[in-house]
Amino acid sequence: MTRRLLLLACSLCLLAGMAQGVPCDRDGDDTLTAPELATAILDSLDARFMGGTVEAPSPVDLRDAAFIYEHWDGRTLTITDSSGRTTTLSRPLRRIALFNSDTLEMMRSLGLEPDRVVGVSKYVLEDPVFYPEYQGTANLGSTWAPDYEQAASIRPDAVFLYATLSESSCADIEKTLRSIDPGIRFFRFDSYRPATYAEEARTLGLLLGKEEEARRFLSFHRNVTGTVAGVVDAIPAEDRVSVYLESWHDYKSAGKGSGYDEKIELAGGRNIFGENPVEYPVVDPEAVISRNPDVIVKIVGAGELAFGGYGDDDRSSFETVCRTIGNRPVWDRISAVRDGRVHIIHSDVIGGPEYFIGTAYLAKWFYPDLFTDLDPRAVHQQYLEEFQHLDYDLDEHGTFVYPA
Amino acid sequence: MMTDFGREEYARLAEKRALFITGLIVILIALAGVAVTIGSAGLSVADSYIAILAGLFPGAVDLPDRMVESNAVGIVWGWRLHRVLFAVAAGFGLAIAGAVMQGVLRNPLASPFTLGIASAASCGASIAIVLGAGLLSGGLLVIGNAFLFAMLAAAAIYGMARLRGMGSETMILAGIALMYLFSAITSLLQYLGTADKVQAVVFWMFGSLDRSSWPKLGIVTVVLAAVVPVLLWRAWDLNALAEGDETAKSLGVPVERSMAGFMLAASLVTAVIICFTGTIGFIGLVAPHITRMVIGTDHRTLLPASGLVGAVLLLGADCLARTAIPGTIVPVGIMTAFLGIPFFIYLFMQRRDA
Amino acid sequence: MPLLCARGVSFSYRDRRVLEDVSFTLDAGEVLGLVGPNGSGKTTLIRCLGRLLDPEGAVLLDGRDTRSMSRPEIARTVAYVPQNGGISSSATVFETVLMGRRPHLRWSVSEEDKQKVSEALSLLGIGDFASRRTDRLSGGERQRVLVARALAQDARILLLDEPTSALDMRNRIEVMALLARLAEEHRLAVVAAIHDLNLAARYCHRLLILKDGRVLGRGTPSSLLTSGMVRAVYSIEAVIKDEMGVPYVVPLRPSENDNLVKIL
Repeated sequence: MTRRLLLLACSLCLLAGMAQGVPCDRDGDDTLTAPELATAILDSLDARFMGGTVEAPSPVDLRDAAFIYEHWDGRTLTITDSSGRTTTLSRPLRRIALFNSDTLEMMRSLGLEPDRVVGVSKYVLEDPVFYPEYQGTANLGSTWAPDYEQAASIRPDAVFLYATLSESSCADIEKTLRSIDPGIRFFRFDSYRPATYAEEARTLGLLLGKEEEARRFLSFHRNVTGTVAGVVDAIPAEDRVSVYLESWHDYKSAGKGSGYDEKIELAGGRNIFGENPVEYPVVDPEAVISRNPDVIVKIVGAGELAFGGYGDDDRSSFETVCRTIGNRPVWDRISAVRDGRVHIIHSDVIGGPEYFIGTAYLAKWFYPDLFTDLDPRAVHQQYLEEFQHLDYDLDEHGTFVYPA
Repeated sequence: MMTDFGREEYARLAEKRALFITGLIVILIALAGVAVTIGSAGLSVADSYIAILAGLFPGAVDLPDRMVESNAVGIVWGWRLHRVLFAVAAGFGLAIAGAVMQGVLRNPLASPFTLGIASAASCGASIAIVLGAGLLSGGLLVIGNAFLFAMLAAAAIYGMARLRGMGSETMILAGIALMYLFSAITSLLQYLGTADKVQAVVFWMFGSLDRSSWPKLGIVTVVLAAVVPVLLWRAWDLNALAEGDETAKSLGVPVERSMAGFMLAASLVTAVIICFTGTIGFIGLVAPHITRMVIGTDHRTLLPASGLVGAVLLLGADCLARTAIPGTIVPVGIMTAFLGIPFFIYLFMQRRDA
Repeated sequence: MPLLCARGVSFSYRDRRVLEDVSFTLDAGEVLGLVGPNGSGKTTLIRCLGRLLDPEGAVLLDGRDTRSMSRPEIARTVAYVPQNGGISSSATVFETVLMGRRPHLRWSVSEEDKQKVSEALSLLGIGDFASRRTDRLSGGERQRVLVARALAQDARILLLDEPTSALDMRNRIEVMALLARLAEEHRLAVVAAIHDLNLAARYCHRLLILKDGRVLGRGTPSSLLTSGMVRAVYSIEAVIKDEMGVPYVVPLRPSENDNLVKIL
């Protein structure tokens, strides 16, 4: 009973506290100084153990005050998310709901404690191998089919949505949830786009009080991307390898402005269909033959080729795909097929927050001589162990690339 | 000799109609009462009703702890209640619009869909979603375009009919031509658009009540309140039109003006509903049909009764949509399409071509 | 003062001249039979008289030009019975006839309205299936429903386009006799386009003969119906008998030549 009352009190305080200033701020100047915090702690101890009668701050207030003092310099925090919206917080986020599973993964890289997450998208719950610790969390549906009642009943203090994906759905979700519960804060982060990745990680670190972890993660990230960029930037345009990328649909390639096109560029390749204005054009097989790419990259993981990834340990399906491509009529004339430079990669490592691992693989395939020291597999393993806190051995489990 | 032929039966028919309408109102209220208790938040039936009262009389109701924790009031008033009322209003409007169109065009298969109005709205929405181009901006972009294009289609049908004669066949032909035109444009946009935007278009076209809100409900209610009484007042003209353009003229109905007015009213009601919900089909076709089978074609009672049947159908479909697959809300347009199937099978079985 | 007056009524449909300079008058209590071969413009003339079409020339109803009358006013003065169609398939007979009351109706149906409908039904002998749906009627029954509707309209002028074409012999006589009687009792003016010359001769006070849109003759049946006229209008050889003062046409065979001889 007391626990329930405490929970109720916490919820109410959270909601109330959002509108108010910094907790335990005696002089109301919106800055928590060391003396103010010390006074608060002492008062609390006095009230709880010494039978003191002075009005003491609640445990929740105290915890929040300590957080703010340590991470936010005793002040309210103003951050700008990836959609350009600024939010000012006077309390840390304790009940986070995410429709964006990529952001959840990024937050995990920053060491977010699972008990601060109260709601996740259904894709997280459908992936127990990668998200074992979130399996009991409330199911919010997806951005296209959100479960508003669940989202509301878990009383989140913050909801995370995409910034540049499914914009109309995200706008609808925000509007509806706001009308059910005006106290919720909304944040828009992508967590899968190379251009904004580092900035987002830094902002999230600040938001969650994980600046140190963010720094460590970003230096790991920069290590990989920097290594690749350093080599790739020095290669003149005419020496770049030509690449044909095919998604899980036969002959569906990536055109200008698409995510895959960007990653090919980051890895130093030249997309043979990079001028095509359609985002994912269906191309003519003869065009591929005539453009004669040096490397072919085939993506699996969805559609008819929905295998591989973290839950699948069977390599043979990747092999079959590789062989099928080689067997396409007249395709044995293409340089990539002739030289055995047809590679399969799973969408998990080339899209989403692990994109930089996929990019590393691409770079290594495009320029094996220039990247002799680069070991994308080791990068992947380190990412999983050190940052995703998963006990997952890539030698034994998972299929992400072929040939290895 | 005092002749009394048919008067008794006519009186009985009038009674039957009144009974039908009353019965529908009762069913609708009961269904609405159930609908507000459905949802994945796990609120008990009592909690749902307490929440309604608490919202109506803020401060007067003492909320138990569990309801504050679960934010029952927020969920019921911010999500469920306006959705249920919107289903009632939308079903009512779409059914009446369908009944009016069928009366004007003398074709029981006429509906906002066969006349291309719904396709036009989808086209407008696609243009807004894929190209980002439209009349209003921001959150109203898609809504404004959908409404605009729906009314454009109605105007086009009217224009084409005036050119070639305001007969019902002309209008239906014009409508079908428009339907194909707008569908083609929508398909082209889907081909050219990014995967993300295409999905947005597809979901818009499913038709859903997820996007309802109190202001939107207000707009639809205002339009219905303005248009429906006028339609009822002019119901005799619809009855006359059903007998044929010539007969209607000889009975004093200004045929061309009436047809235009009715089509405009039906299009307006349809447009204002589907610009918010996306394309929800079958209500405008099925509700008037069912109603006609029970109480005949006098539009004075056919219109309000169809409206009530439509409201019951849509609300029922929405309840099913929210409970069919646990954890997901199936778009209600898909549910109404499924409900249309047994109806058409029934119609098909009834046919006995001489 | 004639109840119905047509002056120089002409009508063109696209480029074709369908009616040319048709003039006649009709007094209250009179039944005028419109006769002529197919395509002579009978239906068009009836439509023009009821202002369903807009002709050149003038149509005067009870002294007023129809051009200056509003549609509802015209509907209260003239009732129209079409040749075919004009009926929706899913209403009951009672409701269909009730539609005839539309020019007089307020929103709800009054006792007087229902009374008129019952009377019309009984006059036409269709009271027994007042509750039947109109798509379950035979052609003849349907035609009588149309006439009943026109009667319920309570108009002083009735325009009927082939009101008996689908009826059997008995019903034909009954309907025509009814129309003649109503015209006399209620001082109505009735214009009926009739194929059956003999039926027209029997029950119409006067005839108007149309061919190719022109008036070929107007007058009483006995004065108009001669074998020469029949030859000129219908191109058949016929013999005219006399049955109790009413001329009776017996058709023999088609004419060899069809020179048009104007008879007046």
